[in-house]
Amino acid sequence: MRWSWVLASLALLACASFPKLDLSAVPDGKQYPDAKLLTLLSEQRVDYFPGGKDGGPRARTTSRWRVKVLKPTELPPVRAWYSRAFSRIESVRGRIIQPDGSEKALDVSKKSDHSVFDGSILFTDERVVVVPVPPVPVGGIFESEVVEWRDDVRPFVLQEVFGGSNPVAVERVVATAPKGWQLRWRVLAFDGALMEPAVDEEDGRTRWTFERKDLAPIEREPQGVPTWALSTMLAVRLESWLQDGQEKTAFKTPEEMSRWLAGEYAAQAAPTPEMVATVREVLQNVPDTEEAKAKALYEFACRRVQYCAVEIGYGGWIPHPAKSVHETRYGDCKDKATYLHSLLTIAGVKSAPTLIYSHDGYPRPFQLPSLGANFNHAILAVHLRSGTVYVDPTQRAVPFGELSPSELDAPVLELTPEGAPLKTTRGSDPKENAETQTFNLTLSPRGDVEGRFAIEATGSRARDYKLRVIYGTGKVTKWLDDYLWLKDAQLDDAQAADVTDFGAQVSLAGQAHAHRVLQRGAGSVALLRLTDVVRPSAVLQEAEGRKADLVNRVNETVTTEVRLTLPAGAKVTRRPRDVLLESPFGAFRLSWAVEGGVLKVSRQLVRAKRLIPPPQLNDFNAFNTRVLAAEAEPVVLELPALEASR
Amino acid sequence: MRRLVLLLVLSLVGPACATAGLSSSFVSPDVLTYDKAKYPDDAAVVLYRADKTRLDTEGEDFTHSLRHVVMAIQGEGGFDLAEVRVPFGSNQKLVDFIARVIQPDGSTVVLDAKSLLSDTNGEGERDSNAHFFRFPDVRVGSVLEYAYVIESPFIWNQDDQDTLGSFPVRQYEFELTASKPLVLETIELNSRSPIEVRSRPNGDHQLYFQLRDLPPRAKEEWAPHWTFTEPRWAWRVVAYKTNVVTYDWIRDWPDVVERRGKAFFVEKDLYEGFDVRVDYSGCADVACKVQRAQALVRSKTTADAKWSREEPIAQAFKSGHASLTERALMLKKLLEDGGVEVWLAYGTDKASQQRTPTFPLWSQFDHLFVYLPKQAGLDAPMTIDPHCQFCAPGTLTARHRGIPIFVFRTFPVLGGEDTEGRWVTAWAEPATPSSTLRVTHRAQVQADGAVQDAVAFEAWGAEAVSKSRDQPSEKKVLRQARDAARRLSPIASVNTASFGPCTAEKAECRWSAERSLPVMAVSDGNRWLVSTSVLEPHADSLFDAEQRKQDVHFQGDDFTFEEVLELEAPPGYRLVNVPRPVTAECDAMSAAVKVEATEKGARLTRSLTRRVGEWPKALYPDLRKVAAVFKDARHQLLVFEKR
Repeated sequence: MRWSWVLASLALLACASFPKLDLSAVPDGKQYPDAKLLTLLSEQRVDYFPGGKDGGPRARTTSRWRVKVLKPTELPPVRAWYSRAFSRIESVRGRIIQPDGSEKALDVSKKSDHSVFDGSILFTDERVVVVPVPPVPVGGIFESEVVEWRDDVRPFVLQEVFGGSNPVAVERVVATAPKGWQLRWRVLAFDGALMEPAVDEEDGRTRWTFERKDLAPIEREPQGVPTWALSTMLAVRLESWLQDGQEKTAFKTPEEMSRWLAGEYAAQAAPTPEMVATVREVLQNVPDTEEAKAKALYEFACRRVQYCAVEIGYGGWIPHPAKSVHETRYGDCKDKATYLHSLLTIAGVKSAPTLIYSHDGYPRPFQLPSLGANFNHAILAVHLRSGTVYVDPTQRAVPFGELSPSELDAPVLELTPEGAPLKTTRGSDPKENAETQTFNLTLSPRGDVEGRFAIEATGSRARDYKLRVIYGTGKVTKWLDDYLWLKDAQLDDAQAADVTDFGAQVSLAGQAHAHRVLQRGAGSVALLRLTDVVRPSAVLQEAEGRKADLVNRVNETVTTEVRLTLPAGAKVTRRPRDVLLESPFGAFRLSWAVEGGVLKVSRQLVRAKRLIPPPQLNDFNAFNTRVLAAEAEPVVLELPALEASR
Repeated sequence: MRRLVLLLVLSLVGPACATAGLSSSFVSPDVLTYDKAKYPDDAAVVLYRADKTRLDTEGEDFTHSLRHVVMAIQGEGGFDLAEVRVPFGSNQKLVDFIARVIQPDGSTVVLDAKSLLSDTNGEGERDSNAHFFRFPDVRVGSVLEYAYVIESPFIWNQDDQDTLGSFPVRQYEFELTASKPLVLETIELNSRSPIEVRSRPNGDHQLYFQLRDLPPRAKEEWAPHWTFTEPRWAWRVVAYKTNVVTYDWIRDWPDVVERRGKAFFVEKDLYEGFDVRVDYSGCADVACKVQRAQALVRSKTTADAKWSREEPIAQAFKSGHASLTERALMLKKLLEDGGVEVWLAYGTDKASQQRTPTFPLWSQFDHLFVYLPKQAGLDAPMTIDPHCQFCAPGTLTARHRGIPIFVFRTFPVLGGEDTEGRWVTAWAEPATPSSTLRVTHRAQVQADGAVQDAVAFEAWGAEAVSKSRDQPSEKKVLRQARDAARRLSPIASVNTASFGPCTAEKAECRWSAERSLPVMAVSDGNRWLVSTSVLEPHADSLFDAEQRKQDVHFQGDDFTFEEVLELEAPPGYRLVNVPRPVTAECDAMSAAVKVEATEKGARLTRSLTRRVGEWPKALYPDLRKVAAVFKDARHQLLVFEKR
């Protein structure tokens, strides 16, 4: 599959074949005063033909991007990604139209073709062709076109998120196929704009056109959903076609895809004598219960097999053999899930590799039963007699039976020989994700504090601590310096009192100090706020104009206990009232006490709702405002005179 | 610390003999033993690293470059080091590769070169390819070793070392070997290790040095650029010398800039189609012409593109989006059209990276200036920073004032072109206005303890240019004002916010907000207690760390922050216990805080000034004291008692 530069050169000469633009009809974009670019046209076209790999269909995709420059800016280079296993670039071309209407072709001789270095994947057979774009004046138009061929369309799904960071005049997806071939699509209209394609015929072929116009820029909201969930997301793929005179179909249901993939995975899961020996070794001294065995083997797979992704061709969807994972002790998510599946099978525990979309707090709905849609991660469903437990062997510090926040509330597809339906993982429970930070501090008359702190955490609140200890050794102290709730803390030391990689709870402790945590003037009176010592519990997010849910990654319980020993002779002349708040979003309590020269503060916030829809945001903010207002109430202190204390 | 510079002039006599290129072999066992207790905080230790280069002109020209790394994995944070990527150009090839993993029990697995994953699709001149591999079965206690040699079908003419990364390095070796006709020069920086000069039996010459026990780089605020602290090397081919003739390659500074000089002074491509003209009528001197040319370029272009971008200036001018280099060339062309003699000059911003004035090296430059030699209508040479939006002719901002710059011009000669140049100091008057941010609060204590704060921000100089680059929408202005207010109080609200006027040319920018900051004041009997945390959290965590490992390098420009809080107390109350004024100063920073009683309440003023430059670590305690004076102003409590 080689970059076809002869064709590209011809394409260069064929600049004139770009459609002639009526510049007087081009929108001026004045309704978008902040925008630097107006996308006049963003079009993805896929044309299906017979004659692909093994007699199956093949596809030609054409990507067109036409933009008008509204403010001085630098246009990104044209980038054409291709996979050496599945596709080849037929042509890349472009043109620049000056404000006076004169045209110049993009100089594609300046192209470069690079290996793709993906942060999370060691090796993929993808490459990218890059063609730099010269400066384009304000009022000028740049247009690019990339044509690519795919000879195997089985894993291919054309996905489009309508809209982007620039305003868009027209965005379009066009698919064509020989008459009688069927297309299947799914529209996820997060912005409420339902979309049906226009269907017509063109030269004996059926054409489906999905189009939207006049799209405002998509702006991700603070603590918000991903950009795809602010728009309309379309997935299109070939559903049925004629091959050797017979009708062939893609996966019709999730169950069918589950069944097919289960077969492919099973072929890679064959155990070896070495794996059998390893299972025997790992399960030595492990109680003979299926849960204990599953837990021990899960922890072994997490600890002893490192994450490393090598994805070549179908290696993006089909795992490497468990034998090779066992030998090299590395693999990606599906490799590790399959390997653990093999080990569990040897141990007599049932399980099924499972596909999931690892999210950032906002689960992604299922689109189409196709390899190229829906999922970006693989985990394992462990079928214990007591019930199914999902585990992720790529995690390094998540106890057996728990999932990381990115895998909660998410649709999953277990891969089983009989074909499994879609299921959903469980949600998060504030009781499981809990953290308590305790500070025993001494206040100096100047307002400095020093003393000891202790941390106890479970669930997702424990995970960061564990990972720091596992990956960072002594750097935990440096990290806690920033992370500790003690504001402006300087840590003198921090030790992991009880932190094990798969333990349910962690404990850390250490010594810290901080400067000037109170307000004090030239006299003896001083103000001390809880949030001058520890960080506020919440952040207010604007409700007005909010388009989508506010996302809390997990439900959780965070508790702070502060015992502040006051300087000798100091008096608390006023302290805030205790507060107890309850709401559908959670609960908050804050209490104050002074005993024997010690100011005691106890605070707890329970977050009980992860996704807050815009209509509920005012109520949510009202709850948070009451929380923050309570935390802002100061204690009034009378302190010894500074001179006397020196 | 800069070290000995070696000039190796090679023998003119003696037959050349064919030599093999570089190849690699595993290190000896003694390299693998080390004292783990010395590295308690590091997930990995680089036990050995070598960068070796061979330049071979016998027969077909080629360059071999070898990278050899041995790493001990001490914690799981080092596991990522097991993934190795070897990038190379489409005209280069991998000619040697070895790799092994030594397990904690001493067992060793040697990797086969066949196990490399290869991506070699790129064939074009600009294309790149790569090999990839992953060490198997890596554990805490494993030692990973790999070495590879890349062959290029040409002679490299210079190279300099990249950073060694974030892990400590126990032993580092540098070796440069060259065929006899090549005259080499190398430099070692920030190190005291001697450079050995070796002669090989075949007549080749070799430069070699080794370093031991390099600590990992400390992460600190205002840390020096890594080039100031990491031991590193650079080399270049000075000349190619035959029995008959010597061809200079990179002998001196003019050679370093000659390629750019040719493009900027001799060739026409970059100027093609640039037909913009400046009206110089009425200009009696060069300064007037500079002012007019600058005004045009500044009004028609921003300078946001990568500084070294070189697109034809007509296109860049029309697009309104130019690079520093393109702006310099626009000014050059416009001034030459006005009859002004123009040179160009390369330099390095203060504290931006280490300069090596004794070693001609392109990579140290990060700025291009327009330089006007003394000429009719100009009594003294003038250095122009094309990036500066507000510098008047004959002025520069602090980051450039007094720096050495290499001024040059290139001109055609018979059969080619020649470049002349020299180092000069960029003397200039300070550009005005200097970079300043002033914040003025007109605040009023409310009966409920909230403080109503009408806050105005005024920026000048580079600070204003930076702020005016992004003219935000009303929505964004409000959001930014809200975010700023909530850094003072998480329940703050903003009533109004406005932005502007902001002009880069005048280097002035203003924005303001009216906000409410709840619970900033407390009524306590017959007094009001008002917190000064209504002040901006500027520099709130500056130099919090009690210890400092490195010098302090203030980059950018000199900068002054000024803040005035005019506080109106509830009627009938007056300020008591007025704190004494405090000031602190050292060479690099100064601060002052003053509180005064006013008719309606109190006025608090504070300022912090930072001077660009490289300041020694010994100054750190003084810097902390200055910072503390400024920061403590936000922790004051103003007490107002009933009159």
